Amino acid sequence: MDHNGGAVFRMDGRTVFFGAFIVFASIIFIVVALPYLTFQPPRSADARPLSPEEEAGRRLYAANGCVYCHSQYLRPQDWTGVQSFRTVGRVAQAGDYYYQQTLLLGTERTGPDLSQEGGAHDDEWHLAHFYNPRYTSPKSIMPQFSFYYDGYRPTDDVKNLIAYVQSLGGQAGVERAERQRALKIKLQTERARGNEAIIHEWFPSTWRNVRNPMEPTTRSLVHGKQVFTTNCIGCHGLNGDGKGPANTFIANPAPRNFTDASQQLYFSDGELYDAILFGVDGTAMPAWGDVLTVNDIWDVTNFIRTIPNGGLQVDQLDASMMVSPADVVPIRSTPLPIEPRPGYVPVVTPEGGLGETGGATGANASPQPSEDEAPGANSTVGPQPQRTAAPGGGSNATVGPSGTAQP
Amino acid sequence: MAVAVRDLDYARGRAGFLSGEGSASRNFLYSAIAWLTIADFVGLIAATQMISPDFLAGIPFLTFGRLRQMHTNGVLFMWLSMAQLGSFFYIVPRLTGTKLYSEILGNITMILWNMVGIAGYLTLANGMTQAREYAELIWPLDVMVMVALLLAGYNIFRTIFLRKEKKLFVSLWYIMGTMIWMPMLYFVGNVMWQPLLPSAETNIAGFPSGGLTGIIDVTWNWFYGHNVLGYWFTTSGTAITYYIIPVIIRSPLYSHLLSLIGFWSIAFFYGLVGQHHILSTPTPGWLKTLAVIGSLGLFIPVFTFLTNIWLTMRGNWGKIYESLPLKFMIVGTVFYFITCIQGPLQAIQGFNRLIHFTNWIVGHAHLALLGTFSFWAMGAIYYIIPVTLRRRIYSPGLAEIQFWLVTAGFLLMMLSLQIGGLIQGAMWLNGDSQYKVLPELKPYLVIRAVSGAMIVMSGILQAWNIYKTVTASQPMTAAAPAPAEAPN
Repeated sequence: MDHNGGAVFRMDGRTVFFGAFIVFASIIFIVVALPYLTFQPPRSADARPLSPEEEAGRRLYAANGCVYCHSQYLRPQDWTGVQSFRTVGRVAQAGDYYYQQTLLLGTERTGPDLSQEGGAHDDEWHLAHFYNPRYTSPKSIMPQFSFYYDGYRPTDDVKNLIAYVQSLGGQAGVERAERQRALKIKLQTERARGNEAIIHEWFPSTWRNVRNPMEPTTRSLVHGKQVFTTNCIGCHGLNGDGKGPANTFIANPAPRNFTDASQQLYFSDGELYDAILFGVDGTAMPAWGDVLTVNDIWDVTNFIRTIPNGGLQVDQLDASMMVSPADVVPIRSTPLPIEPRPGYVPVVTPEGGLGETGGATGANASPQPSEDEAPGANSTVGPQPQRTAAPGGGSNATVGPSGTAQP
Repeated sequence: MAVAVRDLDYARGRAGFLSGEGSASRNFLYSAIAWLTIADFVGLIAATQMISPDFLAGIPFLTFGRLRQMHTNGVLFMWLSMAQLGSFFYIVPRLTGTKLYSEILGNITMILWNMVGIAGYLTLANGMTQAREYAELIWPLDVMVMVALLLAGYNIFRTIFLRKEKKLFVSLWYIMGTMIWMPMLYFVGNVMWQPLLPSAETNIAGFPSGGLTGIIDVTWNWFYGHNVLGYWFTTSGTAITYYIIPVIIRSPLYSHLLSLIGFWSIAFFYGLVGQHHILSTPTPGWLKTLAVIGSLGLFIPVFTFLTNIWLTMRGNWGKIYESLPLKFMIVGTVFYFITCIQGPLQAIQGFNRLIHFTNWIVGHAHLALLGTFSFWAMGAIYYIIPVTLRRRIYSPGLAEIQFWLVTAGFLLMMLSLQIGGLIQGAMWLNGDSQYKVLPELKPYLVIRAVSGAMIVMSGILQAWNIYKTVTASQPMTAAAPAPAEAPN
């Protein structure tokens, strides 16, 4: 059998057996034992042990093979690995995994990286998303986890899973999630008091008086409709009434009802832009900035204004369908003082609570109004149409339909 | 060494199901064929879910993440591993000029291995997993795998110890190496002592788990994850190829020296490379550097092996038209060539930056495990089963169709996944988010699912063809062609 070199090196049984063993044992020493003995990174600032609920969620995460589509570390080149403007693109550190037994780093990224997912989305968003990811993210190919629901009622399993996902990012992730929860409570509390206008504090004041720079041409409206129907209907509904399939899970605050012209004009173009770009803190509205372009967002902002006049029902769209003051029925809530004022900047205390949440606690028990159903108490406040019709009315740059008249 | 001439004697052995000569080998191969159809089918369901995520949705055990584990474990540890062990149980007696030490022990190993597969599918389907890639099986099953590996190794080493042919052919080096390396690798990589330690209070599988605490776990995971390819599938496949190709073409191996260089260089370099899966994790830099060097070093064993095989084929290339197993083996070496060009390049930081986390890697995994090792395993099956049964292949035409289905299906799969992977990687570097990238992948995922259906069909054809060969085909007559040509 030998062609040459038979005498170079005698491969008898002993040589092969012990040679193979010794070479491999050396390799194990070099690449397994040596790193184990020499590489013991200290815990990082964000490292944090999991609570029992989060640990239970982590087991479900492992059991369902989530790790095969979602990575849990950001590489230096991954500034887009973060799927929400609420989270920080932070390159993974060795000490982040200090407390974890059996790492779930992942090797493939079919879905987004989750290493900083904590606080990126609202708990209720996750409830809808786990039931059917297409409800909140129509282009997602993630499997349904509807088997963790009893009918539509979430079981402890899915709650644990959400607790785990909200803990990703360690200390920073948990703080983000807590901040979202605190803001949600504040929003609910203020609304229960009839202070619907509290939502304006959510947007930087600089956006308050911004007009849509995109003329509501047919092109803009049709494009906006396309953006709306491919991204928004899971929550805001096929009719724009806020009753998409995700509505079952996202009740408080519920998705905005765009068929109500007064609710539409309650927000300026700039505020809608901010809401779409960055999401709305304390609500299930996620940030779309990584998905939609500036053009997309302004066009869909234009399009949303046609929904009360049947923009989603008709094929031919034109600027005449934009809601105008004549359509506006004032919303039944305390109007907002129009004077420009500094935007609400929530301050997170080290404990994770809000520094500026007067009366935020204890309000959970009160009945929570949904967006399109103002609490009865509010009707006694009395509408003040001249103020609500144009949130930016305090300045010359009037926001709203009068400001978007055709040339 | 005349490796070809004893096939006739061998084939005339008794035909007991669990004790007859060659029964352990055949039973391993039959099991492998069955597992291939199952694991491929599971893969097809998963591939369909990637283009139609609500397909069979809401059923826990048909969730993508669980199906993926069942697919990878099924093809790796049931189909390929069983096909390779079955081939070992045939090749080792051939090369040592003796009988297998114990057919009964071999069959016990076979039953144990199948039990691992069944229990593995049931546990993975129910979410019991260690969640470490390629080390998913829970700890009790790890123990069963270890026992089965050690039993198989014992059987093989006893056979080699009792050999009549004193000189060890190169295939035997690889088989000996493999049977030493794999149990060591499996034991270390799965951290199998971990559940026995007092510190093992938490576990991720609902069973004791072999995960370590801290980032070090991932370096161990990928030491194991990649070396299970290197010290199990590659060395097994090399051993089988080194045996079957010279036997079929009845020609001596080109060079002993090349075999020698190939064997020791793969033994040394392969172990270093695992970390190239995690080049961007916060793990020690020197370990990554070693991995890149080791990956490039793998050019040595690869090219010595391929040079050796292809030069052995000198003057005999025409025989791939005559012999079906040879066709599988040779096409496998071509895909092996592509695998081993891609592999080291993927380990280089610059290219890794583009393709890491993408479907390119999935394509590469199919290139190695389907294009290369599965082709070699199919070739071995089409060689060994007819020879040991002294029966003709039931339908060479069907086998031909199978060959073209799996070749075309595999090529479509690799190309679609790798083109899709390049698009993914380029879009990420361009700053696009996953949610924007996903729709771009859809056409490629559709092609992948179609190619998957072709591969499933080829697996079914193989199962049918072998089943009919065993039960209903014509025995070879005394005037039949020599065993080397027999399979076709």
